[in-house]
Amino acid sequence: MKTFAFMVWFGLAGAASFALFNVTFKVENLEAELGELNRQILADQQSIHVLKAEWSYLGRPERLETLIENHLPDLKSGIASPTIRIEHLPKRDAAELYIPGQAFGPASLYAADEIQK
Amino acid sequence: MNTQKSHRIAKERRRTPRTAARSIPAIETGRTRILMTLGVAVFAFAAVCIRLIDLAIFQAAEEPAIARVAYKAELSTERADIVDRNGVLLATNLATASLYAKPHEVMDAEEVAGQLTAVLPDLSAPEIVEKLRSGRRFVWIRRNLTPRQQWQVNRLGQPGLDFQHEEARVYPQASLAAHILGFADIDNNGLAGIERAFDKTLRSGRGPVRISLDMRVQHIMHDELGRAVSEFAATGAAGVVLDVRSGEVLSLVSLPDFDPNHPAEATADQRFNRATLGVYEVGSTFKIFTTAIALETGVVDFTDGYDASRPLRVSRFTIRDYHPESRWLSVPEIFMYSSNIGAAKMALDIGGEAQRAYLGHLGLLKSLSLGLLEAGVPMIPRPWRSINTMTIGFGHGIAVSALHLAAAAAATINGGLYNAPTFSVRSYGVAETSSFSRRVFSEETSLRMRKLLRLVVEKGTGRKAAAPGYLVGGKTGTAEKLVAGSYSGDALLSSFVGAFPMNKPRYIVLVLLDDPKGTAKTHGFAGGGWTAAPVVSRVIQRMAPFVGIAPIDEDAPAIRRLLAIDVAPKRPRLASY
Repeated sequence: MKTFAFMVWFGLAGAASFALFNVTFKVENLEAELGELNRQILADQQSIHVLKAEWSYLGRPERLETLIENHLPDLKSGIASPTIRIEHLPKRDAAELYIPGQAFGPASLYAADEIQK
Repeated sequence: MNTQKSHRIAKERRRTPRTAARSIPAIETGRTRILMTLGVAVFAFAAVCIRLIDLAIFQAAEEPAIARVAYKAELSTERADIVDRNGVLLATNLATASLYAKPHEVMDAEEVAGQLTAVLPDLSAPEIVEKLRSGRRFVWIRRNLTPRQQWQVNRLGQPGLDFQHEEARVYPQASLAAHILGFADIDNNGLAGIERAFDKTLRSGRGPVRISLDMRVQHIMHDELGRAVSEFAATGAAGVVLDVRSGEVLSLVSLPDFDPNHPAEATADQRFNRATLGVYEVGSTFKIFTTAIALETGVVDFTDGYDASRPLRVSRFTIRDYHPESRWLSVPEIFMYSSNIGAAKMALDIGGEAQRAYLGHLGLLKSLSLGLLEAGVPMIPRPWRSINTMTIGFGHGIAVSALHLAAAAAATINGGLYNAPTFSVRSYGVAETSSFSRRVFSEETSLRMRKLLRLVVEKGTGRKAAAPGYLVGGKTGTAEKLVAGSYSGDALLSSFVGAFPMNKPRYIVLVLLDDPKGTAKTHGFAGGGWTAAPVVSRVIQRMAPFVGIAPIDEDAPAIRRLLAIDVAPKRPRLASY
């Protein structure tokens, strides 16, 4: 009886200490991993920070204008005279574009909505 | 002796049975004590167990409150970023390394100096040697190295040289917003502009500071203003774009400017903020206020007018018109032809007291509370005589900053509310009751001012400010600069206060050119209508798409009706007619 009790207690203590050390080591590993991840995050944040500064530097309006002048001759002036609002575009006849059984093209999306109404 | 001995034996004898008799209760006592101790121990362990069960099972809900949050990596800098209203980065801190030396650890000063000048050519070898032999424990060699320079210095392998992790303030947009941002010194102390005004906030580590600027508009203003400065050979210029509904400054440019990345290289003239610190007699743009006050106080109506047939002589002064019509002029005509005589007479009718009170309400008599150190104090006449009232009527004898002028002009057109200008981002829909907003003029007066300002651009002195589709209104200003105590006809301060769209004003665009010279294209004229007005026109055309204002049909009946004005009403019977 005594031996049995001793075995039980010994077994329990062994299991408990195993579990405890297991958890401890796991936590230590996780903490090391966390530290490593935090270091990486910090390093990434640092480089994002530098990249943001570079982005702002590269996005100077002055530079963009030069680039537009060199590469996008059609977009030269920022003046809006050739710009109109989407609602001012003339609407196409909805029925004309609606062909049953066919997929709608992007241009006819408005028309489709109207027909469904 | 014997009796003593026998007595002792007797005593022992007596004691022996007593001890034997008492040994049983002693064991009992020991057992009881052990039991007691055991009981206490069991109780203690039971308490610990119960508490453990309680903590582990029954208080699970509270666990997060007990558990510590895992350390989270967060990049922190000594100084927060500054971003514009759209989040464009204007100022940031970048990590750098600074090179220092510990002279007592340096073995051969001359060798080190030679090697360092090879890597960092702009250093001088004798200076380094001197530093290394100074006997101090710490000397800076060079602050803020680039990564490549750091690597090269490291490669020298010299003991006694070491790096200090530092942060350098960087302004990626360079000179574009130099005067507003200001700059910080090498130890990250804000020395000017926003950097100084918001120094505490920037250091508090509460994330980026967002300011009201729009870098797109800022660039347009900077670009056009720079072009005007070189075209008219002006000594300087200031430009302001202000949201009339909230008082937010979208753009503020002062030329010449400087690169805040290298503030030490800037001259005093470059660092001088002409838009907020410089106060100028701005001339005719002040007629906006004279007319608005006169209309508001009921001194004049659109049908009234003044005789401007001959120059006005007051003691030793003579008030003349730049564009003399030499006849009776109605109030709209006075405004549209920018008649000094008419404005002076109007101001006299308003009276000095009312004029002063209204200019005070418009914030023109005190420095602006921007938080910036660079806030100019207006120069106002003391005492305020009637001659001052007259000259102030057309913008002389009082000096204010460009931002003062823009903010006050906004109050005349936005429905009559004066919104204190700001570099902070405000929410729209400014209420009359808000802390930075106060009513100065009625809606009615404001509408009439919009009509007058539109008239100036449509038919008057400001025609060059027109931008098709944007319904620009505005007022020219041409002031003679006070040079060495007297007004010189040569040096002018030309300005234009524009606003658009006049049916529903959104933005004030103010351009001020310091001493522009006329060109062949302007037929030698250097006034506001010739030099500053075209800049306003171009700025408006370029910025409108960015701020979401679509061009409208300026001749639409509804707009015509809204801004209709009878320029030359029936003239009253006058002796001269």
